[in-house]
Amino acid sequence: MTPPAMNQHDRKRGVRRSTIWMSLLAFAIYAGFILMAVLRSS
Amino acid sequence: MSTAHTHAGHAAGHHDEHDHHGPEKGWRRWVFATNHKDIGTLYMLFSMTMFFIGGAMAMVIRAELFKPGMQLVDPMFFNSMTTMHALIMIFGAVMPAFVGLANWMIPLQVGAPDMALPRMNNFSFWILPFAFTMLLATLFVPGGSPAGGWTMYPPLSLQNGTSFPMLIFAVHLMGASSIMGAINVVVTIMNMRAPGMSLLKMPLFVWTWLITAYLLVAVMPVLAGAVTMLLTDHYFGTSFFQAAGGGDPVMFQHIFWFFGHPEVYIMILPAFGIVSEIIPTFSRKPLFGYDAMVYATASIAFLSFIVWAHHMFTVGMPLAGQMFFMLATMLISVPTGVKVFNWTATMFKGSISFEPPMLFAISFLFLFTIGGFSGLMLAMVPADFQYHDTYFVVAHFHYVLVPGAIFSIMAAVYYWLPKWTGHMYNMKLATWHFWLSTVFVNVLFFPQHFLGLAGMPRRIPDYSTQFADWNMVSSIGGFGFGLSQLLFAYIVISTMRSGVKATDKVWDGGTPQGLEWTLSSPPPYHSFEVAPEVK
Repeated sequence: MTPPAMNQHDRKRGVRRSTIWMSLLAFAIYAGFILMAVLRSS
Repeated sequence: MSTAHTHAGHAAGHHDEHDHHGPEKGWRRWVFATNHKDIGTLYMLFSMTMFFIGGAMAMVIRAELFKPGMQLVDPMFFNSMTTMHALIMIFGAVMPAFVGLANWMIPLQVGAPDMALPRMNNFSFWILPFAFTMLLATLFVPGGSPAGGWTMYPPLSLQNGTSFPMLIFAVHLMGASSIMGAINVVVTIMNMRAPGMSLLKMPLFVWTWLITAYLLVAVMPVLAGAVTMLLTDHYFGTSFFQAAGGGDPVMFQHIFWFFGHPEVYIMILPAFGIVSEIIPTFSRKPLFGYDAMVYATASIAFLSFIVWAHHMFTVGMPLAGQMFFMLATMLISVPTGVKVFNWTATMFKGSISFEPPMLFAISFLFLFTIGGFSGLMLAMVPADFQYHDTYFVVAHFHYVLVPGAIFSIMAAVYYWLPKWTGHMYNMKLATWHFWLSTVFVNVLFFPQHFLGLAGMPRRIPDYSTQFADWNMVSSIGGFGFGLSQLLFAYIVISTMRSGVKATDKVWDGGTPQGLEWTLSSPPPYHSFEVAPEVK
């Protein structure tokens, strides 16, 4: 898929959205594994 | 390294946003760096420093193992050396080197002006010197450095005293740095490619880094969770991994290796990307099977999530589990084999020349494959019951990491250093570095296969006398390899300062593809401020 031409506003929005999703994914995995360990230990 | 002048012909709109200027002067340029070239340079120099520190620890290890008996160091200190050598090499040398290469090359190769998140990029880097200063400071605290292995298995890892919280904090910081760096890579590649650059037109180095970045975001939080739980077990009364409290030490191993196996692919996929850039250039032929290379890389990354327990075959797993992990592990050799065949096919009937980057790339091809073969042997459960925790494992992973990852990093440096600095290096010296490294790395690690097969365990400061001969050979290889790397440091540093002017294409005899070769050598401090058109 060819990316759209670099429109500053769209690019900034895309950057913000991608960053938020990736950060949420990382945090979810961190919390998820600790939660799994808590559940397995109880 | 980059010149201070800005790229000519920038769009008028850009002037409205900020004044164009060269880099800051003095220390401020580096401490407050947001330019991807400067941050890439910082990562590469940091990585080289850590490579020599970790290498010095390896020299201590090989010096003690030169002869049977304890000659030089205390056994506990030897264990600290093995632990710290691994932590420093993995988290301080290999990973930062690949991140440095990503920082330098991804914006250039996708036609972007910089990484998507320049200030987070700065933070990602500057966390590392702080983390490693803290880790190295453990050498001087009561109880000494961590000595329970880089895998930090409890309960042993909880018994080291003062260094434990410093280790945990350092690991958290390194993990945070890697996660932020990976987010930056994904966001840059997905949002800032030049018009016309579809995903399947990206250079292979960019593809392998995109996939590696997803792996990093997926598994570094798992390591962070594991070491958080070690911390709470030690200081806050939890019992995640303590049998007496109802926990399970084997669960730590599962969680650690769920991180640990994708981690080793994180350390090799960028190497695959580098080799995929270099071999076509010096074969004067396009890469064979571009699409297959992308799909094979993605397959390897996917499979890396379902093989972790092959690091723990002897822990007491049910047979069904052992069978699953054995078969899944063997399956990874299929896409890996596709890649090796495709690199070979790229060279077939090519017009090959043997400049230093190509020498390292070919050496990678051959020696990484040897590492892959020993990996396949380790995948077989009944065989692994013999090999586990012996020097056979040590030989395997050093073959894939040293002539694998490290040689690919050196190949990348030799390939792109003229572009970065604008100077050609002394090819004769670089060729000497190559041959010395290749010969000594084999003298160092090949005999370790024999030691493992003969039954020598890992992580021991002294050994039974029947292992003496090959240990002496290995140690001689180690000293030779270590000394040879001083030549590399000399070449890199002297090329940064001076040298014959490099052309823009650099490898004029070859046909290097990629947007980075359309820029001057060195490239402007701010490049691709106007996005190039990619056909």
